[in-house]
Amino acid sequence: MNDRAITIERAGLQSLVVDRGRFGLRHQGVGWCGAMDPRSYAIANELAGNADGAAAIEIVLGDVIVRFESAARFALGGADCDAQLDGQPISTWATHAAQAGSRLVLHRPRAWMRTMLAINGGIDVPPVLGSRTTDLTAAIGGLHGRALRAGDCLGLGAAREAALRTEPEPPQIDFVLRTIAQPLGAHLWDRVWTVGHESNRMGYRLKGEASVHDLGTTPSRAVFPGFIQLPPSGEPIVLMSDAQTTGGYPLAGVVVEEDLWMLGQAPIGAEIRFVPWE
Amino acid sequence: MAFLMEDFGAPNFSRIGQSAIVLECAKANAPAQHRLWALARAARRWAHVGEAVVGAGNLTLLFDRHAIDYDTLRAQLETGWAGAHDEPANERTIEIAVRYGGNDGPDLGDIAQAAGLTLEEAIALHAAANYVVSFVGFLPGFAYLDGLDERLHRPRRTTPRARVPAGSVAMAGAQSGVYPFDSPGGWHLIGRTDARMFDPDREPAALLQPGDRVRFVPA
Repeated sequence: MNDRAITIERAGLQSLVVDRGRFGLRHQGVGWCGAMDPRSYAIANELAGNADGAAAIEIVLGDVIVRFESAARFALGGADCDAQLDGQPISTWATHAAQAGSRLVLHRPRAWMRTMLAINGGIDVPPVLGSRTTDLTAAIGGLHGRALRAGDCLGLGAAREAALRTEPEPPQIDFVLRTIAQPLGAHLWDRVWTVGHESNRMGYRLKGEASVHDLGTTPSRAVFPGFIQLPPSGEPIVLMSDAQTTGGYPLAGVVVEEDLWMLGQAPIGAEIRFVPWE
Repeated sequence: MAFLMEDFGAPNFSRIGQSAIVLECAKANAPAQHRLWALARAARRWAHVGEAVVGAGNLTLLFDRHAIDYDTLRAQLETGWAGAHDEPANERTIEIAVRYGGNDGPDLGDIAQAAGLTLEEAIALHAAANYVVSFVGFLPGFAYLDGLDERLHRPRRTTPRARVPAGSVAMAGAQSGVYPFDSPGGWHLIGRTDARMFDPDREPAALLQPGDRVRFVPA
Protein backbone atom coordinates (compact mmCIF):
# COMPACT_ATOMS: atom_id res chain seq x y z
CA MET A 1 0.00 0.00 0.00
CA ASN A 2 1.24 3.49 -0.79
CA ASP A 3 -0.36 6.92 -0.82
CA ARG A 4 0.16 7.61 -4.51
CA ALA A 5 -3.14 8.74 -5.96
CA ILE A 6 -5.00 11.09 -8.27
CA THR A 7 -8.41 12.72 -8.00
CA ILE A 8 -10.72 13.32 -10.94
CA GLU A 9 -11.96 16.90 -10.64
CA ARG A 10 -13.74 16.94 -13.97
CA ALA A 11 -14.63 13.68 -15.72
CA GLY A 12 -15.58 14.82 -19.25
CA LEU A 13 -17.89 12.93 -21.60
CA GLN A 14 -16.59 9.44 -20.81
CA SER A 15 -13.41 8.57 -18.96
CA LEU A 16 -12.67 4.92 -18.30
CA VAL A 17 -9.96 2.87 -16.63
CA VAL A 18 -8.69 0.59 -19.41
CA ASP A 19 -5.97 -1.93 -20.12
CA ARG A 20 -5.35 -4.24 -23.08
CA GLY A 21 -8.50 -6.19 -22.36
CA ARG A 22 -10.12 -9.08 -20.51
CA PHE A 23 -9.08 -12.07 -22.59
CA GLY A 24 -9.97 -15.75 -22.69
CA LEU A 25 -13.57 -15.53 -21.48
CA ARG A 26 -15.52 -14.92 -24.66
CA HIS A 27 -17.02 -18.42 -24.29
CA GLN A 28 -18.68 -17.07 -21.12
CA GLY A 29 -19.98 -14.09 -23.08
CA VAL A 30 -17.37 -11.74 -21.59
CA GLY A 31 -16.07 -9.09 -24.03
CA TRP A 32 -12.52 -7.75 -24.15
CA CYS A 33 -13.37 -4.10 -23.41
CA GLY A 34 -9.74 -3.03 -23.87
CA ALA A 35 -8.41 0.39 -24.93
CA MET A 36 -10.16 1.62 -28.09
CA ASP A 37 -6.83 2.87 -29.41
CA PRO A 38 -4.38 0.16 -28.30
CA ARG A 39 -1.52 1.80 -30.19
CA SER A 40 -1.68 5.14 -28.34
CA TYR A 41 -2.33 3.24 -25.12
CA ALA A 42 0.87 1.22 -25.57
CA ILE A 43 2.98 4.27 -26.42
CA ALA A 44 1.63 6.30 -23.48
CA ASN A 45 2.31 3.42 -21.08
CA GLU A 46 5.84 3.04 -22.34
CA LEU A 47 6.52 6.77 -22.02
CA ALA A 48 5.13 6.68 -18.46
CA GLY A 49 7.60 3.92 -17.56
CA ASN A 50 4.89 1.29 -17.18
CA ALA A 51 4.90 -2.36 -18.12
CA ASP A 52 2.74 -3.27 -21.11
CA GLY A 53 -0.75 -3.91 -19.80
CA ALA A 54 -0.76 -1.35 -16.96
CA ALA A 55 -4.14 0.31 -16.48
CA ALA A 56 -4.50 3.83 -17.90
CA ILE A 57 -7.36 6.30 -18.35
CA GLU A 58 -9.08 6.62 -21.72
CA ILE A 59 -10.69 10.03 -22.18
CA VAL A 60 -13.30 10.81 -24.87
CA LEU A 61 -13.03 14.33 -26.35
CA GLY A 62 -11.00 15.88 -23.53
CA ASP A 63 -12.62 18.30 -21.06
CA VAL A 64 -11.01 16.64 -18.04
CA ILE A 65 -9.18 17.91 -14.94
CA VAL A 66 -7.01 15.60 -12.86
CA ARG A 67 -5.35 16.54 -9.55
CA PHE A 68 -2.23 14.65 -8.52
CA GLU A 69 -2.33 13.85 -4.78
CA SER A 70 1.32 12.83 -4.92
CA ALA A 71 4.25 13.44 -7.26
CA ALA A 72 4.10 11.16 -10.31
CA ARG A 73 5.39 10.98 -13.84
CA PHE A 74 2.80 10.54 -16.56
CA ALA A 75 2.36 10.62 -20.33
CA LEU A 76 -0.37 11.52 -22.81
CA GLY A 77 -1.06 9.76 -26.10
CA GLY A 78 -3.79 9.96 -28.73
CA ALA A 79 -5.96 13.05 -29.21
CA ASP A 80 -4.11 16.32 -28.53
CA CYS A 81 -6.17 18.27 -25.99
CA ASP A 82 -3.93 21.36 -25.61
CA ALA A 83 -3.03 19.94 -22.20
CA GLN A 84 -1.78 22.17 -19.41
CA LEU A 85 0.06 21.14 -16.26
CA ASP A 86 -0.28 23.84 -13.59
CA GLY A 87 -1.11 26.33 -16.32
CA GLN A 88 1.86 25.51 -18.54
CA PRO A 89 1.25 23.94 -21.96
CA ILE A 90 2.61 20.39 -22.25
CA SER A 91 2.91 18.16 -25.26
CA THR A 92 1.13 14.92 -26.12
CA TRP A 93 3.39 11.89 -26.81
CA ALA A 94 5.78 12.87 -24.00
CA THR A 95 6.58 12.10 -20.37
CA HIS A 96 5.92 14.82 -17.77
CA ALA A 97 6.50 15.21 -14.03
CA ALA A 98 3.61 16.23 -11.78
CA GLN A 99 4.09 17.37 -8.17
CA ALA A 100 1.75 16.70 -5.27
CA GLY A 101 -1.12 19.13 -5.84
CA SER A 102 -0.43 19.56 -9.57
CA ARG A 103 -3.42 19.99 -11.86
CA LEU A 104 -3.61 18.51 -15.35
CA VAL A 105 -6.20 20.16 -17.61
CA LEU A 106 -7.32 18.68 -20.94
CA HIS A 107 -9.34 20.79 -23.38
CA ARG A 108 -11.47 19.59 -26.26
CA PRO A 109 -9.30 18.16 -29.04
CA ARG A 110 -9.44 19.62 -32.57
CA ALA A 111 -8.85 16.22 -34.15
CA TRP A 112 -9.00 12.58 -33.06
CA MET A 113 -11.34 11.24 -30.41
CA ARG A 114 -9.59 9.67 -27.43
CA THR A 115 -6.68 10.61 -25.18
CA MET A 116 -4.76 8.03 -23.20
CA LEU A 117 -3.49 9.22 -19.82
CA ALA A 118 -0.89 6.77 -18.52
CA ILE A 119 0.48 7.45 -15.05
CA ASN A 120 3.65 5.91 -13.66
CA GLY A 121 2.79 2.81 -11.64
CA GLY A 122 -0.53 2.36 -13.42
CA ILE A 123 -4.06 2.88 -12.09
CA ASP A 124 -4.38 0.57 -9.10
CA VAL A 125 -7.89 -0.84 -9.19
CA PRO A 126 -8.48 -4.52 -8.35
CA PRO A 127 -8.35 -6.86 -11.36
CA VAL A 128 -11.64 -8.62 -12.12
CA LEU A 129 -11.48 -11.87 -14.11
CA GLY A 130 -7.87 -11.11 -14.94
CA SER A 131 -8.12 -7.49 -16.07
CA ARG A 132 -8.54 -3.96 -14.74
CA THR A 133 -10.39 -2.72 -17.81
CA THR A 134 -13.94 -1.37 -17.43
CA ASP A 135 -16.80 -3.50 -18.80
CA LEU A 136 -19.77 -1.12 -18.79
CA THR A 137 -22.29 -3.84 -19.74
CA ALA A 138 -21.40 -6.25 -16.94
CA ALA A 139 -20.44 -3.35 -14.64
CA ILE A 140 -17.13 -4.95 -13.70
CA GLY A 141 -13.52 -3.77 -13.70
CA GLY A 142 -12.27 -0.19 -13.61
CA LEU A 143 -13.69 1.81 -10.71
CA HIS A 144 -16.88 -0.01 -9.62
CA GLY A 145 -17.49 -1.06 -13.23
CA ARG A 146 -18.48 2.43 -14.33
CA ALA A 147 -17.16 5.55 -16.06
CA LEU A 148 -15.20 7.96 -13.83
CA ARG A 149 -16.99 10.84 -12.11
CA ALA A 150 -15.86 14.12 -10.55
CA GLY A 151 -14.58 13.40 -7.05
CA ASP A 152 -13.34 9.87 -7.80
CA CYS A 153 -9.97 9.10 -6.22
CA LEU A 154 -7.76 6.49 -7.90
CA GLY A 155 -4.72 4.86 -6.31
CA LEU A 156 -1.53 4.32 -8.28
CA GLY A 157 0.78 1.33 -8.34
CA ALA A 158 4.33 1.53 -6.96
CA ALA A 159 6.59 4.07 -8.71
CA ARG A 160 8.88 2.80 -11.46
CA GLU A 161 11.78 4.41 -13.23
CA ALA A 162 10.65 6.75 -16.02
CA ALA A 163 12.86 9.09 -18.01
CA LEU A 164 11.41 12.37 -19.29
CA ARG A 165 11.30 11.85 -23.03
CA THR A 166 9.29 12.36 -26.19
CA GLU A 167 8.03 9.73 -28.64
CA PRO A 168 10.11 10.37 -31.78
CA GLU A 169 7.51 9.02 -34.22
CA PRO A 170 3.95 9.49 -33.01
CA PRO A 171 1.39 7.60 -35.12
CA GLN A 172 -0.34 9.28 -38.06
CA ILE A 173 -3.94 8.65 -39.10
CA ASP A 174 -5.35 8.50 -42.62
CA PHE A 175 -8.56 6.56 -41.86
CA VAL A 176 -7.76 4.08 -44.62
CA LEU A 177 -8.35 0.66 -43.06
CA ARG A 178 -6.69 -2.38 -44.60
CA THR A 179 -9.31 -5.12 -44.58
CA ILE A 180 -9.37 -8.85 -45.22
CA ALA A 181 -12.39 -9.54 -47.41
CA GLN A 182 -15.03 -12.17 -46.79
CA PRO A 183 -17.23 -13.24 -49.72
CA LEU A 184 -19.28 -10.03 -49.33
CA GLY A 185 -16.15 -7.87 -49.16
CA ALA A 186 -16.53 -6.20 -52.56
CA HIS A 187 -19.36 -4.21 -51.02
CA LEU A 188 -16.85 -2.31 -48.86
CA TRP A 189 -14.41 -0.94 -51.43
CA ASP A 190 -14.44 2.14 -53.64
CA ARG A 191 -16.71 4.27 -51.52
CA VAL A 192 -16.50 6.58 -48.56
CA TRP A 193 -18.18 5.54 -45.32
CA THR A 194 -19.08 8.05 -42.63
CA VAL A 195 -19.00 7.25 -38.90
CA GLY A 196 -22.64 7.39 -37.77
CA HIS A 197 -24.17 8.81 -34.59
CA GLU A 198 -24.97 5.44 -33.05
CA SER A 199 -21.29 4.49 -32.89
CA ASN A 200 -19.90 3.51 -29.51
CA ARG A 201 -17.42 1.17 -27.84
CA MET A 202 -19.45 -1.85 -28.99
CA GLY A 203 -19.45 -0.99 -32.66
CA TYR A 204 -19.09 1.73 -35.26
CA ARG A 205 -22.12 2.09 -37.48
CA LEU A 206 -21.10 3.42 -40.86
CA LYS A 207 -23.32 5.42 -43.19
CA GLY A 208 -22.96 5.37 -46.94
CA GLU A 209 -24.13 3.97 -50.22
CA ALA A 210 -25.11 0.39 -49.44
CA SER A 211 -25.15 -1.91 -52.46
CA VAL A 212 -26.63 -4.93 -50.67
CA HIS A 213 -29.67 -5.20 -48.40
CA ASP A 214 -31.54 -7.74 -46.28
CA LEU A 215 -28.92 -10.44 -46.35
CA GLY A 216 -30.69 -12.17 -43.49
CA THR A 217 -28.85 -13.90 -40.68
CA THR A 218 -26.51 -16.86 -40.34
CA PRO A 219 -26.19 -19.36 -37.47
CA SER A 220 -24.70 -17.57 -34.45
CA ARG A 221 -20.96 -17.81 -34.21
CA ALA A 222 -18.06 -16.02 -32.56
CA VAL A 223 -17.35 -12.42 -33.50
CA PHE A 224 -14.40 -10.24 -32.46
CA PRO A 225 -13.37 -6.58 -32.57
CA GLY A 226 -12.52 -5.67 -36.17
CA PHE A 227 -15.21 -7.90 -37.71
CA ILE A 228 -17.40 -5.99 -40.18
CA GLN A 229 -21.05 -7.08 -40.12
CA LEU A 230 -23.77 -6.34 -42.66
CA PRO A 231 -27.15 -5.82 -40.94
CA PRO A 232 -30.36 -5.57 -43.04
CA SER A 233 -29.63 -1.91 -43.95
CA GLY A 234 -26.47 -3.04 -45.76
CA GLU A 235 -24.55 -0.31 -43.94
CA PRO A 236 -21.55 -1.94 -42.24
CA ILE A 237 -21.04 -2.19 -38.49
CA VAL A 238 -17.39 -2.53 -37.43
CA LEU A 239 -17.23 -4.31 -34.08
CA MET A 240 -15.05 -2.56 -31.49
CA SER A 241 -13.58 -3.22 -28.02
CA ASP A 242 -16.88 -3.85 -26.17
CA ALA A 243 -18.38 -5.99 -28.95
CA GLN A 244 -20.70 -8.86 -28.10
CA THR A 245 -19.08 -12.31 -28.30
CA THR A 246 -21.41 -14.00 -30.81
CA GLY A 247 -23.44 -12.67 -33.72
CA GLY A 248 -25.51 -13.75 -36.68
CA TYR A 249 -25.14 -11.02 -39.31
CA PRO A 250 -23.22 -11.86 -42.49
CA LEU A 251 -19.58 -10.76 -42.47
CA ALA A 252 -18.13 -8.43 -45.10
CA GLY A 253 -14.56 -8.51 -43.85
CA VAL A 254 -12.16 -8.08 -40.96
CA VAL A 255 -10.12 -4.92 -40.36
CA VAL A 256 -6.41 -5.73 -40.05
CA GLU A 257 -5.49 -5.76 -36.35
CA GLU A 258 -2.73 -3.17 -36.86
CA ASP A 259 -5.23 -0.65 -38.32
CA LEU A 260 -8.23 -0.95 -36.00
CA TRP A 261 -6.80 1.63 -33.54
CA MET A 262 -7.50 4.34 -36.13
CA LEU A 263 -11.23 3.72 -35.89
CA GLY A 264 -11.03 4.22 -32.12
CA GLN A 265 -9.83 7.72 -32.97
CA ALA A 266 -12.52 8.43 -35.58
CA PRO A 267 -15.07 10.97 -34.38
CA ILE A 268 -18.70 10.87 -35.49
CA GLY A 269 -18.83 12.22 -39.05
CA ALA A 270 -15.29 11.10 -39.89
CA GLU A 271 -14.89 9.67 -43.39
CA ILE A 272 -13.19 6.31 -43.65
CA ARG A 273 -12.26 3.93 -46.45
CA PHE A 274 -11.60 0.22 -46.62
CA VAL A 275 -8.91 -1.17 -48.91
CA PRO A 276 -8.30 -4.85 -49.60
CA TRP A 277 -5.36 -6.32 -47.70
CA GLU A 278 -3.23 -8.88 -49.42
CA MET B 1 -22.84 -42.82 -25.55
CA ALA B 2 -20.69 -42.97 -28.67
CA PHE B 3 -21.72 -41.67 -32.05
CA LEU B 4 -20.23 -42.84 -35.31
CA MET B 5 -18.41 -40.27 -37.40
CA GLU B 6 -20.96 -40.86 -40.16
CA ASP B 7 -23.50 -39.18 -37.94
CA PHE B 8 -21.60 -35.92 -38.23
CA GLY B 9 -20.07 -35.75 -41.70
CA ALA B 10 -16.75 -34.00 -42.21
CA PRO B 11 -16.68 -30.51 -40.72
CA ASN B 12 -15.79 -27.50 -42.84
CA PHE B 13 -12.83 -25.28 -41.89
CA SER B 14 -12.32 -21.65 -42.81
CA ARG B 15 -10.13 -18.75 -41.84
CA ILE B 16 -11.68 -15.43 -40.85
CA GLY B 17 -9.37 -12.42 -40.81
CA GLN B 18 -5.80 -12.86 -39.62
CA SER B 19 -6.25 -14.95 -36.51
CA ALA B 20 -9.53 -16.85 -36.40
CA ILE B 21 -10.26 -20.39 -37.56
CA VAL B 22 -13.83 -21.65 -37.74
CA LEU B 23 -14.96 -25.27 -37.64
CA GLU B 24 -18.51 -25.68 -38.95
CA CYS B 25 -20.34 -28.95 -38.42
CA ALA B 26 -21.82 -30.54 -41.52
CA LYS B 27 -24.96 -31.14 -39.49
CA ALA B 28 -25.94 -28.97 -36.54
CA ASN B 29 -27.55 -31.36 -34.06
CA ALA B 30 -27.32 -32.18 -30.38
CA PRO B 31 -24.52 -34.78 -30.58
CA ALA B 32 -22.46 -32.46 -32.79
CA GLN B 33 -22.96 -29.66 -30.26
CA HIS B 34 -21.80 -32.02 -27.46
CA ARG B 35 -18.66 -32.73 -29.43
CA LEU B 36 -18.04 -29.00 -29.96
CA TRP B 37 -18.20 -28.35 -26.21
CA ALA B 38 -15.62 -31.07 -25.54
CA LEU B 39 -13.35 -29.86 -28.33
CA ALA B 40 -13.60 -26.23 -27.15
CA ARG B 41 -12.70 -27.25 -23.59
CA ALA B 42 -9.64 -29.10 -24.86
CA ALA B 43 -8.63 -26.27 -27.24
CA ARG B 44 -8.60 -23.73 -24.39
CA ARG B 45 -5.58 -25.62 -23.04
CA TRP B 46 -3.70 -25.68 -26.36
CA ALA B 47 -0.66 -23.46 -26.79
CA HIS B 48 -1.21 -20.25 -28.81
CA VAL B 49 -5.02 -20.41 -28.58
CA GLY B 50 -6.51 -17.29 -26.95
CA GLU B 51 -10.24 -17.89 -27.25
CA ALA B 52 -12.37 -20.93 -28.07
CA VAL B 53 -16.00 -19.96 -28.63
CA VAL B 54 -18.82 -22.38 -29.48
CA GLY B 55 -21.74 -21.07 -31.54
CA ALA B 56 -24.74 -22.78 -33.14
CA GLY B 57 -23.06 -25.77 -34.80
CA ASN B 58 -19.64 -24.16 -35.00
CA LEU B 59 -16.46 -23.48 -33.02
CA THR B 60 -14.10 -20.54 -33.50
CA LEU B 61 -10.54 -20.41 -32.18
CA LEU B 62 -8.57 -17.19 -31.99
CA PHE B 63 -4.88 -17.97 -32.31
CA ASP B 64 -1.52 -16.20 -32.04
CA ARG B 65 -0.54 -16.08 -35.71
CA HIS B 66 3.05 -15.17 -34.79
CA ALA B 67 3.42 -18.47 -32.93
CA ILE B 68 1.37 -20.98 -34.93
CA ASP B 69 0.22 -21.09 -38.54
CA TYR B 70 -3.29 -21.72 -39.77
CA ASP B 71 -2.60 -25.10 -41.39
CA THR B 72 -0.99 -26.51 -38.25
CA LEU B 73 -3.92 -25.45 -36.13
CA ARG B 74 -6.40 -26.74 -38.69
CA ALA B 75 -4.76 -30.17 -38.58
CA GLN B 76 -4.82 -30.07 -34.77
CA LEU B 77 -8.53 -29.23 -34.85
CA GLU B 78 -9.27 -32.00 -37.32
CA THR B 79 -7.54 -34.55 -35.11
CA GLY B 80 -9.24 -33.10 -32.06
CA TRP B 81 -12.66 -33.28 -33.69
CA ALA B 82 -12.17 -36.91 -34.69
CA GLY B 83 -11.05 -37.87 -31.19
CA ALA B 84 -13.30 -35.67 -29.09
CA HIS B 85 -15.62 -37.57 -26.80
CA ASP B 86 -19.24 -36.74 -27.07
CA GLU B 87 -19.87 -34.83 -23.89
CA PRO B 88 -21.88 -37.05 -21.58
CA ALA B 89 -25.13 -35.33 -20.73
CA ASN B 90 -24.48 -32.90 -17.92
CA GLU B 91 -26.14 -34.00 -14.70
CA ARG B 92 -26.79 -30.45 -13.56
CA THR B 93 -30.36 -29.18 -13.67
CA ILE B 94 -30.82 -25.54 -12.79
CA GLU B 95 -34.22 -24.14 -11.88
CA ILE B 96 -35.00 -20.52 -12.60
CA ALA B 97 -37.99 -18.91 -10.90
CA VAL B 98 -39.91 -16.68 -13.31
CA ARG B 99 -42.61 -14.06 -12.85
CA TYR B 100 -44.50 -14.46 -16.14
CA GLY B 101 -46.45 -11.74 -17.96
CA GLY B 102 -47.54 -8.26 -16.92
CA ASN B 103 -44.81 -5.62 -16.77
CA ASP B 104 -42.26 -8.42 -16.34
CA GLY B 105 -43.18 -10.04 -19.65
CA PRO B 106 -44.79 -7.45 -21.94
CA ASP B 107 -44.75 -9.73 -25.02
CA LEU B 108 -46.43 -12.76 -23.41
CA GLY B 109 -49.88 -11.71 -24.70
CA ASP B 110 -48.67 -11.44 -28.31
CA ILE B 111 -46.88 -14.77 -28.12
CA ALA B 112 -49.95 -16.52 -26.69
CA GLN B 113 -52.27 -14.93 -29.23
CA ALA B 114 -50.05 -15.84 -32.19
CA ALA B 115 -50.03 -19.44 -30.96
CA GLY B 116 -53.79 -19.48 -30.35
CA LEU B 117 -53.25 -20.08 -26.63
CA THR B 118 -54.42 -18.49 -23.41
CA LEU B 119 -51.78 -16.77 -21.26
CA GLU B 120 -51.93 -19.67 -18.82
CA GLU B 121 -51.40 -22.22 -21.59
CA ALA B 122 -48.43 -20.30 -23.02
CA ILE B 123 -46.85 -20.07 -19.55
CA ALA B 124 -47.45 -23.78 -18.96
CA LEU B 125 -45.81 -24.65 -22.30
CA HIS B 126 -42.74 -22.50 -21.60
CA ALA B 127 -42.39 -23.88 -18.08
CA ALA B 128 -42.97 -27.52 -19.06
CA ALA B 129 -40.02 -27.79 -21.45
CA ASN B 130 -36.64 -29.30 -20.59
CA TYR B 131 -34.07 -26.84 -21.92
CA VAL B 132 -30.41 -27.50 -22.66
CA VAL B 133 -27.75 -24.77 -22.84
CA SER B 134 -26.48 -24.85 -26.42
CA PHE B 135 -23.85 -22.14 -26.02
CA VAL B 136 -23.10 -18.94 -24.09
CA GLY B 137 -22.60 -15.70 -25.98
CA PHE B 138 -23.75 -12.19 -26.87
CA LEU B 139 -23.52 -10.85 -23.29
CA PRO B 140 -21.68 -12.11 -20.17
CA GLY B 141 -23.70 -15.11 -18.98
CA PHE B 142 -26.31 -15.10 -21.77
CA ALA B 143 -27.13 -18.78 -22.44
CA TYR B 144 -28.87 -19.87 -25.64
CA LEU B 145 -31.38 -22.55 -24.59
CA ASP B 146 -32.64 -25.24 -26.95
CA GLY B 147 -35.91 -27.01 -26.23
CA LEU B 148 -38.58 -24.36 -26.71
CA ASP B 149 -41.95 -25.91 -27.63
CA GLU B 150 -42.57 -25.53 -31.36
CA ARG B 151 -45.90 -23.84 -30.77
CA LEU B 152 -44.01 -20.92 -29.20
CA HIS B 153 -41.48 -20.43 -32.01
CA ARG B 154 -41.62 -16.85 -33.35
CA PRO B 155 -39.12 -14.79 -35.34
CA ARG B 156 -37.42 -12.06 -33.35
CA ARG B 157 -39.07 -8.65 -33.08
CA THR B 158 -38.77 -6.54 -36.23
CA THR B 159 -37.73 -3.55 -34.11
CA PRO B 160 -35.35 -4.40 -31.26
CA ARG B 161 -35.85 -2.68 -27.92
CA ALA B 162 -33.21 -0.11 -27.01
CA ARG B 163 -33.26 -1.38 -23.42
CA VAL B 164 -34.29 -4.78 -22.14
CA PRO B 165 -34.19 -4.96 -18.31
CA ALA B 166 -31.76 -7.36 -16.62
CA GLY B 167 -33.39 -10.69 -15.69
CA SER B 168 -35.86 -10.62 -18.60
CA VAL B 169 -36.83 -14.14 -19.69
CA ALA B 170 -37.10 -14.09 -23.46
CA MET B 171 -37.61 -16.19 -26.57
CA ALA B 172 -36.89 -15.92 -30.29
CA GLY B 173 -36.86 -18.50 -33.04
CA ALA B 174 -36.48 -21.95 -31.49
CA GLN B 175 -34.64 -20.69 -28.40
CA SER B 176 -35.22 -19.17 -25.00
CA GLY B 177 -32.82 -17.19 -22.82
CA VAL B 178 -32.40 -14.75 -19.93
CA TYR B 179 -30.88 -11.28 -20.33
CA PRO B 180 -28.20 -11.05 -17.61
CA PHE B 181 -27.86 -7.26 -17.86
CA ASP B 182 -29.76 -4.25 -19.14
CA SER B 183 -29.03 -4.22 -22.85
CA PRO B 184 -30.58 -3.66 -26.25
CA GLY B 185 -32.42 -6.75 -27.46
CA GLY B 186 -34.71 -8.14 -30.14
CA TRP B 187 -36.20 -11.18 -28.36
CA HIS B 188 -39.77 -11.40 -27.06
CA LEU B 189 -40.00 -10.75 -23.30
CA ILE B 190 -42.33 -13.11 -21.47
CA GLY B 191 -41.22 -12.87 -17.84
CA ARG B 192 -38.53 -11.92 -15.40
CA THR B 193 -36.26 -13.61 -12.87
CA ASP B 194 -34.14 -12.46 -9.93
CA ALA B 195 -31.54 -15.18 -10.60
CA ARG B 196 -28.01 -13.80 -10.89
CA MET B 197 -27.01 -14.98 -14.36
CA PHE B 198 -23.44 -13.65 -14.16
CA ASP B 199 -21.32 -13.13 -11.05
CA PRO B 200 -17.58 -12.37 -11.43
CA ASP B 201 -16.96 -13.78 -7.93
CA ARG B 202 -18.38 -17.17 -8.91
CA GLU B 203 -16.37 -19.84 -10.76
CA PRO B 204 -17.43 -20.09 -13.52
CA ALA B 205 -18.98 -16.63 -13.56
CA ALA B 206 -21.88 -17.56 -15.85
CA LEU B 207 -24.69 -19.39 -14.01
CA LEU B 208 -25.56 -21.53 -17.04
CA GLN B 209 -22.87 -23.61 -18.77
CA PRO B 210 -23.07 -25.59 -22.02
CA GLY B 211 -24.86 -28.86 -21.42
CA ASP B 212 -26.71 -27.68 -18.33
CA ARG B 213 -30.39 -28.57 -18.22
CA VAL B 214 -32.69 -25.69 -17.32
CA ARG B 215 -36.24 -25.59 -15.99
CA PHE B 216 -38.30 -22.43 -15.67
CA VAL B 217 -40.56 -22.46 -12.60
CA PRO B 218 -43.49 -20.02 -12.42
CA ALA B 219 -43.00 -17.91 -9.27
